Amino acid sequence: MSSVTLNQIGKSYGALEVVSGINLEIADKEFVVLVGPSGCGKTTLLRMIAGLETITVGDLLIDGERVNRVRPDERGLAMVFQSYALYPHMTVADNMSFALRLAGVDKSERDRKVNEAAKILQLDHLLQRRPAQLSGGQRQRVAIGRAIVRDPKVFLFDEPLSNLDAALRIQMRIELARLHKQLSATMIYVTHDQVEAMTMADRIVVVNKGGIEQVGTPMEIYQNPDTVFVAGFIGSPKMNLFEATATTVDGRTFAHLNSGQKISVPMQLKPGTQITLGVRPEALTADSSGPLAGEITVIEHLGGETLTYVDIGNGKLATIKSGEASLGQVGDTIRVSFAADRLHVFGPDGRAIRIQPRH
Amino acid sequence: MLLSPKNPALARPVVAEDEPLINTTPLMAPSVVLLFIWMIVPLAMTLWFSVQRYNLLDPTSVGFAWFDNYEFLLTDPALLNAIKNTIALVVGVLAATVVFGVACAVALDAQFPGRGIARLFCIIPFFVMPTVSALVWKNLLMNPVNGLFSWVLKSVGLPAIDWFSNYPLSSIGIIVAWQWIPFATLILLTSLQSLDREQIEAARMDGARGWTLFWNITLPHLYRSITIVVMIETIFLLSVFAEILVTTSGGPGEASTTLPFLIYKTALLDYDVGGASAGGVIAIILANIVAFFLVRTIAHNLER
Amino acid sequence: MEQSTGQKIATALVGWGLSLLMAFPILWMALAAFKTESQAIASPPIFFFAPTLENFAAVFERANYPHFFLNSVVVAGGSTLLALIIGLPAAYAMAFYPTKRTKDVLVWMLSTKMMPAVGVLVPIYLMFRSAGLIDTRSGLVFMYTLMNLPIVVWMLFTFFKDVPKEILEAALLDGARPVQQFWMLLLPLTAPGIASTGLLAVILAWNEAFWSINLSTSNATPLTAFIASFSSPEGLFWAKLSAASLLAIGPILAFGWMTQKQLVRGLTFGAVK
Repeated sequence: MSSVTLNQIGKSYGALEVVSGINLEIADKEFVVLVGPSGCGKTTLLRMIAGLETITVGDLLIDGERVNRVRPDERGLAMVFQSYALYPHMTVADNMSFALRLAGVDKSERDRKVNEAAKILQLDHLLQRRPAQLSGGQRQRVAIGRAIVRDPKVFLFDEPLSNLDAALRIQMRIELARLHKQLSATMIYVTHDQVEAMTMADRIVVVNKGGIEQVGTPMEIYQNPDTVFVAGFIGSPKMNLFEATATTVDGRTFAHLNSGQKISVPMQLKPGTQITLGVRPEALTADSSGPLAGEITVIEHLGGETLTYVDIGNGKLATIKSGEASLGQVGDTIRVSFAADRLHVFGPDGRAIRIQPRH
Repeated sequence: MLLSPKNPALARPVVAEDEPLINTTPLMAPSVVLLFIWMIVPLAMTLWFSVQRYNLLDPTSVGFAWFDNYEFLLTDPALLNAIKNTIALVVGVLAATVVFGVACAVALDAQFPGRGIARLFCIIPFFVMPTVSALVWKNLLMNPVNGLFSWVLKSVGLPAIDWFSNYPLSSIGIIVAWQWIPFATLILLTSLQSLDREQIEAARMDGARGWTLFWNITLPHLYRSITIVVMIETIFLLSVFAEILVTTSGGPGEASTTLPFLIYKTALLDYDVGGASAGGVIAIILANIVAFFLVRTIAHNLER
Repeated sequence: MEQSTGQKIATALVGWGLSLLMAFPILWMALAAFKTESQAIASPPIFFFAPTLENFAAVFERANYPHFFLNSVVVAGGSTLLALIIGLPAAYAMAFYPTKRTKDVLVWMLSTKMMPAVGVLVPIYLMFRSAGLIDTRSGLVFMYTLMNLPIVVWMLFTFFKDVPKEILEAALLDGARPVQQFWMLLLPLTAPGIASTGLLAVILAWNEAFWSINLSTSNATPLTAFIASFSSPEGLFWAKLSAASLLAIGPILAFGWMTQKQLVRGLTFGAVK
């Protein structure tokens, strides 16, 4: 059992409030990813959980016990830093066994644990090297090994993959997901990369401007973003977002896009409401009777899929994701449509207005 | 040192919650307390003595003199003379060290065989204790009869110069400048090494050569470092003492008596504590005018 | 830009010329230390001669030289050690646990260095006299410790600042208490920086002349003040003066050479790196 509970947590530096009103319940063995743009407060949040930052207000509970004033090493956590933070003057083995040595664990037990972790991470042959002699990926694994050896209740990751190149990042993503299963440990992972969040998380916590925007499984968040921010942040290519004004004609609601065109919206809205419409690129299809028309400005062939950018007026581009075949040529005018249930509508406050299915 | 009750105290008052987990007071205290005492006690005593009638040789002279010491000092031509000498020495040495420091730094920044050793040679004077420097210059080099300089002058048909009798302050200035040129060189050399090579290349592409390059790129880059050199040297040069003591002892007459040397004479040769303290206060005020700007410049660097 | 051979030679000549000019007085002195007294004062000067060690022997015999040398070692070494012991915790605290006041404390420490020694000569002299510290090694050690403390704290502070904060945080999570962090991480990681700080403090204390002349008379006199006594008739013996001087500056030149890279940082309070 190792759960983490955040109850109304906030952090201020003097008058500057960087995080506020955070409520979050992290269950045992759960892989939770905190994702958000840089400067949103996600790292501060993680550092507060770790005990590296004091908590201004609220309660932090680990396994039901309040740990606000408990020293970091007594919270039973291990953290993997963005810069790895390996001890440069120690060998890999010494790096990994440092915590055990401080805890007074005897040599044979230390060696056993280090070897065990080294095997899991394929570091066996590197144990006598210094961090400076390792590649980025290897250093990353040592940092993870240092955490594993301590057998913590909760693993904390602070953007651990951001210093790796793209190929290595994908490989480490898979390794981390595998590790989570293998260790069956609670993990809290901070990243600004929504792909990492989508691929690894049991649950995603989207953080923005020091507060939580939405919590949910990756698919929940992808399919039903609560706010415009979440809609735009999660998913690649980004969701198409069109600003519009609601109007009513014969009892039916239409959205006048700021870029000029008009589409019907399957819900009741007060005329004049400022709304934002969102449609995922893969939900848009070429359709000669579709409600939106535009000129193809750029076509990107990615091999298995094609991204087509269509100017729907005033230079506003809509992205369409389709299969291998092109939807046309640059300069062609095409019409586009989408299924009504793939349309997201956000009110003037940026929050989602759920579409009530009509029967 | 860490506040860590085994049982995390929910009863802990809310105000204390946000305090850092480590208490740094015991780590800071020795340094801060010692330096504070060292700063405040002598300063207070100097100020106190400076308004007292206090002479170690004359036990009858006691009590408040108020501003008599200052009045005596300020109306004494010796003080004016000492301040003039101090300023002349500081300004002259500053000018010499900056000019030669820039020259040495630029010369030693260029690539040539044995540069490492040459740099070392150039900074040697800085590590030589002031008394040794002064004596070597006074005897081996500047002695009017047997000194190397007089031989050089004689061999080109010029009369020998009695340096310390005829040009006491300038002679001391030469010695002090020689000691401080390496300091300027070291700092300016470090600064030059941070000069962007691409910027120089770009300027060269634009046709800048030699002097143009130096005036438009190198010197502006060095400007900040030169300011720092000037300020730090000023602080040290205001206290030049040993060089004067072992060469001229402030003479001939008062010709090379600077403010530090005047205070030394008043205090430890005339035993006039009150008068020396008043002189000390004046020296502190002078130094603090410079220190104010120096501290501001350095504090500015902390904002990173 | 390729330089022509002529330019290359000119660059080397200017560089070496200036350096030799700067070093000349000391080189000339070193030469004199190996001359006989009559060779040393000869005019025209003698450049080639059979070197002799008699001056060194004479210095050791006549002037009780080892006593003064030992004073310098004790005073410079002792004050440096003390300054490091007092300064290390403060620099550590300010570098890794900064508060709102840290910057002010640093600047204030720096400003104590700005006090001209002559300004406080009288009270210090009187206090030393009433405390019986005049002409004692401990008095000078105390003086130099305080004199160097601001520079030591500043220099250590800038070296500690170069250690990534995350490394200490990782150690904190690994269960290292501040004392363990210090011994097991900081000390091995910043040893070169601490060493240069110590060397600079030794150099400054070794060469200090104002307080050594004014606060010592014979028992505690270090080399700076001892050499100053050559200004009187003894100064006529140039070869012996040179030999004594060479011995006095020798060790410090070696230290200076070792620490030259870090020197700038220390002397400018981190303003130039």
